Amino acid sequence: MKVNKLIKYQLTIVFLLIIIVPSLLNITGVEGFERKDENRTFNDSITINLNELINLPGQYDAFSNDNFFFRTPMLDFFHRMKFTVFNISPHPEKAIKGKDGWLFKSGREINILNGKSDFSPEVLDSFKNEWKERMRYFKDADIKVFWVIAPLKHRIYYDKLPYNVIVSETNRTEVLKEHLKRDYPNLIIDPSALLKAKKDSNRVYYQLDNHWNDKAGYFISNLLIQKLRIEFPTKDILEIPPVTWQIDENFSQGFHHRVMGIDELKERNETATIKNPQAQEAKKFGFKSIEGFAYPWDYENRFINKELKNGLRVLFIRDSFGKAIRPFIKEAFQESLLIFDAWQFKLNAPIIEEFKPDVVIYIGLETNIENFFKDYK
Amino acid sequence: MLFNSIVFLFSFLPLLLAVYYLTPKKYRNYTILLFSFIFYAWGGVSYTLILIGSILVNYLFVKQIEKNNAYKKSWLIIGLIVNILIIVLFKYLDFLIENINIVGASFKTDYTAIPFKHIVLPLGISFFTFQQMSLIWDVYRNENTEKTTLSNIALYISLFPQLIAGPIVRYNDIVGQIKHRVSTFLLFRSGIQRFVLGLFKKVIIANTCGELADTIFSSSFNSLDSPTAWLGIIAYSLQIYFDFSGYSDMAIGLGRMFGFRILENFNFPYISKSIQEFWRRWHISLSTWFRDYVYIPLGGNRNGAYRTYFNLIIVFLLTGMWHGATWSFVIWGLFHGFFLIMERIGFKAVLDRLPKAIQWFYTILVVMIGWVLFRVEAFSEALEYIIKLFSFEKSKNISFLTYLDNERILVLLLALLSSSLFFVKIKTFLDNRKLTQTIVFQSLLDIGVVVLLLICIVYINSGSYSPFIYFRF
Repeated sequence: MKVNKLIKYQLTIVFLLIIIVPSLLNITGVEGFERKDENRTFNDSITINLNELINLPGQYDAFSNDNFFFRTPMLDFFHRMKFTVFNISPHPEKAIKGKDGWLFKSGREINILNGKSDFSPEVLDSFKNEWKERMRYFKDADIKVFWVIAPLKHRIYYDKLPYNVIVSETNRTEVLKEHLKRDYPNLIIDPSALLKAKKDSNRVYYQLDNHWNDKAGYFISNLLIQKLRIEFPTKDILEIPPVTWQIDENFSQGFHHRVMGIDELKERNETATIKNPQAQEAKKFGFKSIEGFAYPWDYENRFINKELKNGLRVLFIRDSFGKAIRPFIKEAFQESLLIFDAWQFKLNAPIIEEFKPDVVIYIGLETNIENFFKDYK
Repeated sequence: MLFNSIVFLFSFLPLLLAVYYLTPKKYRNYTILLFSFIFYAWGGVSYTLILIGSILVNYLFVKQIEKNNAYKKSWLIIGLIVNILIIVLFKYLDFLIENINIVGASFKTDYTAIPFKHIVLPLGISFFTFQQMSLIWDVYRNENTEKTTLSNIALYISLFPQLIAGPIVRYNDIVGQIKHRVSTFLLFRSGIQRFVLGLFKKVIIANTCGELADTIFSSSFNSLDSPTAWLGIIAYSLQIYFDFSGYSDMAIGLGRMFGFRILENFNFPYISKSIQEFWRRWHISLSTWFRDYVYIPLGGNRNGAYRTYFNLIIVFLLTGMWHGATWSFVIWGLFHGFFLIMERIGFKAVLDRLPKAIQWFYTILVVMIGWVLFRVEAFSEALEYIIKLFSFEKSKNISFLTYLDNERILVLLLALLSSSLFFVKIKTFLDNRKLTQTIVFQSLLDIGVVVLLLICIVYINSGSYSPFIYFRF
C-alpha cells in the first residue's frame, strides 16, 4: 500500500524537532525563559575531573535538568495542569487543594487530622509530667502561665477540605485538654470555638497560606486581653486602639502560593493598621537566638507602652502564629516580649529570670505540640 | 541512563541519531556500540569494565565452540558455569553468605559469621548474563551459522535499548539484524509511536500507580483496612506491569529507530485465564528463555508427570531467584510454580469448565497475591498484608479515598482499560471499517503521539525521581 508522504514524514520531523531544538537553543546561547527560584542551588556548571569521572554522569544529569531550555514554561504548565485540570495540588506532599480556592498543608497535618497522630495514654501522661514540672517553676516564681494552641486551618475550615481528607472523630488537642483539665484547668486556651464562630463573617485564615490572618490575630488578642483582665483584676490592661482594615483584593503570598507555583493565584486579604499606636519597639535584651534557627532576626521582639504604669509584663514564647497577634497585644500591656524559640517551646528560664514577667503565654500551632517535651528534637 | 530522563531525550538520543545516520552504513554498528557503552557507563563507569570483560570472555567461549571439535560441549559447559558464577558473584553472594551464616549459627554456638562482601550489583547483569548464555548455547546448537565476530557479539550483548531492562533478546533472533538491517521512515515512525507509548506508560501510568502503591505499602500494615490494602495491591500490580512493559515498549521503539525489530515481551498478561496463560503473556522473553534453556534441557514434559512437576519447580525457583537475591522472590517463584503444577494436575480442566469471568478472577487473584509476596520483603509482613486483604475490615480513621485524587483515579481507570483489550477492540473496530489507514486518522494518531510525548516531558521536567523497578534485576 502506498503511504501518503505527509504520514510518512510528519511524525518523524516533529519528533526530531522536539528532541533537538532545546539543546540547539542552549548551545547557540539563545536567551531562554527566566528560571524561577527553587529551594536549592541550581547546577549551572560541570567540573570535569579525570580522577573522578564516576561523578560526571550525575553532574551532567543535574546540569541537564536545571538547564533544560523549556524548564520554566513546562514547570508552569505542569503546575497549571495539576491545579486546573485535575483540581489537585502539583505537590500534594506539601499542600493539598480544597474547595473554593482553599489550600491546606498536608503531611503531618493530615495525619493529625485523621487521627494517625493521636496521643497514646503514655504521651498524655508525659504532657502532664512536663507541665507539673513547669508549673512548679512558675508557681515558685509567682508567674501565671497560659498555653494557646493554634488550631489547624483544617479544623476551622473543615468544610473546605477535599473529599479525600478524613477528619477523625477524635481530636488530639481536645483529648489533651481533657487530660490536663483536672490538674490545670486554666492552662490551655483553645481559640477554635471563637474562630469557628467568627469565620462566617470574617476570613480568619489565609487561603494561600497555612497561618491565621490579622483578623484572627485581632480576635485572639481580645480573647487574651479578656482572660488576663480576669486573672489580673488590679492591673491596667488597655483596649486595642481603633483599627482600620485595608483590603487587598490581589493578595498573592504565602506558603501554599509558593508551593502551587502559579503566580496569578490571589485572595482577598485585610491588613490591620492601628491609628495611634502607643507601644513602641524597645531595645532588645539581646538573648542569643537558637543555633540554626532560620529566622534569627525574629527571635526576640520587645515592645514597651510607656504611658502605662500599672500594666502587665507579658512574655510570649511563640511560633509563627504569634506574628498575627503582635500588633494588637503590644498595645494592651505595659511590656511585651516575644520570643520565637524555633518551635522548641522550652521553659526559657534565663529569659524569664531576666525579663521577670507577670505572665508567660506559650502560643503555637497544634502540629508542634510534642515539641513541649524537654527531650524533643 | 534512564530513557525517561532529560539527558537521554535531549542529549543522548538526538546525538546518537545524528551520528548514526551520518555514519556510513558499514560503520553504523560501531557507532551504536560506542554509544551503548556510553549509555551503560552513565549508570556506573566501573560497571562498563565488567560488561566489556564479560563480552570478551564470552567471545572466547564462542570462538572455542565454533571450532566444532571434540571439546565443543566442554566449552559450552565451562561457558555456562562462568556466566553463572559471574551472576552469583555479583548478585547472590551476600544472599548465600547470609544463609550460610544462619545455618552455621543454628548448628554451632561459637560459629564465626562470614562477613558480607557488599559487592555492588552492576545494572542489568541478569539481562546481559542471560543473553550471553543464550549466545553460547545458540552458537553451540547452530553448527552451520556464519562465524561470528567480536563486534557482532559486543553489539548483541550491549545494544542499549535492551541492555539494562530487557527484553532478553536471543542471539539467533537478532544476529541477522546486526549484520543486515533496513531502516525506513515508516519503521522509524512506528518506533517513535512505540517509544512514546512506552514513555507514557512509564512516566504517567507506572509512576502515578507507584506513588500510590508506595504510600500504602509504606504504611503500617496493622493500620490498613481491607479496601486500602486492595487499592495498594491493585496499584502495585498496575505499576509493575506498566513500568516493565513501558520499558519494553521503549526498547522496542528505540530498536526500530535504528532498524532493529526486537521481539514483544508482554501480551496483555492481566487478561489471562490461567497461570499457564499468564506466563505466556508476562515477560515473554524470560519465560521462553527458561523454557528453552532450562525446562526443555531438563526433559520438559517428556519424562512423566512427576519429573515434569520437578522441572517446573526448578524453573520457577530460578525465575524467582532471577528477580532478586531474597527469599521473597524465591517464594514468589514457587508460589507461581505451585499453581502451575496444580493446573497441570487437573485444576486447569476444572477451570476450563467454569465461566470465563471466574477463570480470570482466579488468575488475577493468584497473580496479585503473588505480587504481595514480590513487593513485601519479609514473608511474615507479606502474610499480614494478605490477611488484611481478606479481613474485610473497615477503619474509621483510614479510607482508601484518602489515597486517591482526581489524577490518580483517572490514571487508574486508564491503566485498567489499557491492561485489558479495550483499546485493542477499538482499534479492531476502526480497522474493520478501514478507518485507521486514512490520512485523517493517521494524522490524529501522530498528533496524539506528540501530545503524549509533550505531557511526558512536562512530567519528567517536573523532576519526580522514579527509579525503574527492573533495574534491580
